[in-house]
Amino acid sequence: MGLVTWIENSALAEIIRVSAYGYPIMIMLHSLGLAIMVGLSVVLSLRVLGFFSLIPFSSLYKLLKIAWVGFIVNFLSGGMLFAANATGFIVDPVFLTKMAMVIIGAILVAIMQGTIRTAIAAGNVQTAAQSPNLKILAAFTIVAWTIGMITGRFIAYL
Amino acid sequence: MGNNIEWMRPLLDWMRTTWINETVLGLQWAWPILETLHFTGMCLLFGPIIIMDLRLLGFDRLAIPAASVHTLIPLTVAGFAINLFTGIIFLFGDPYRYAMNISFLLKMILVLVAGLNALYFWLKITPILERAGPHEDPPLSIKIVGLTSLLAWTGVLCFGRLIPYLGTG
Repeated sequence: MGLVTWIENSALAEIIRVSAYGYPIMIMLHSLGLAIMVGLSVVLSLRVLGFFSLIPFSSLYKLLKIAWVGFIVNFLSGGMLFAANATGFIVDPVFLTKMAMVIIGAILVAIMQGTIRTAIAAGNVQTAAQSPNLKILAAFTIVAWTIGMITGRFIAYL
Repeated sequence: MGNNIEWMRPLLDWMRTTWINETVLGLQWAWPILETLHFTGMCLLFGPIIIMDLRLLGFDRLAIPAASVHTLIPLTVAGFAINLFTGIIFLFGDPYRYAMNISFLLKMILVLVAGLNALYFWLKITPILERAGPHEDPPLSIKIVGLTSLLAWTGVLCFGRLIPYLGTG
């Protein structure tokens, strides 16, 4: 708890709490990052599940860089938002669930990305994309981000 | 800036008398559930928009056929439809709040810009894309449409999220 309290008492956290712009800017960046990360992750997942077959996997693979930029934006903005009320969030089950879902979602995207990279190098993307395991990962990715979004929104209400 | 909303009062007052207003304000979890759906629609719209608009700007044109841009449109329509639906419910739930909010006004203007841009795309650009080679560098007009779309929807997202914090909140 000491670290968490220290975070909450930091100057950066104070800025978020006190300034008129700090919180709104952070929350706006957080929405932008989530639209990018979740938006692209969902398209990737749907592609793995067989939709939008006109779009090459190699292209989606390149676009994942942008998704990770969104993720980093949310890591940073989320860190600021967390710091403003660290001791409150750290014991909030809704927040903790969100964090678990975000971590799971990110890991699943990374796994899909790695699988696609290997397949592109091996030249068998089309076969690899048929893999039932990959499709299950894709489905769970959608589920994880969806629950992450729901719990994220409900932090403010519960 | 003070919005002169006097002319809207009859409309706004009527909206507050509707069953939509009563329901959304009466059900305890209606608002956060609608907000969650609104975020979901936003993601379903924004992901494809990034991909489509980057392709219109020429990204990875050697790999992505021009025609494939269309394949994502149904997902953007689904996202937009969810947000139109939930957005209208929000309006009916608290009409004065939105009428007086500068961020909401700016958001709606940008939705209009994005919508007109999409209409222009549908009517003028689609035939060009269909005629063009699948991997040609798009002409400037197409790139402008792509950039406008990207900037407009980003603006919609930003001003939307700032509604509680700008102006009258």
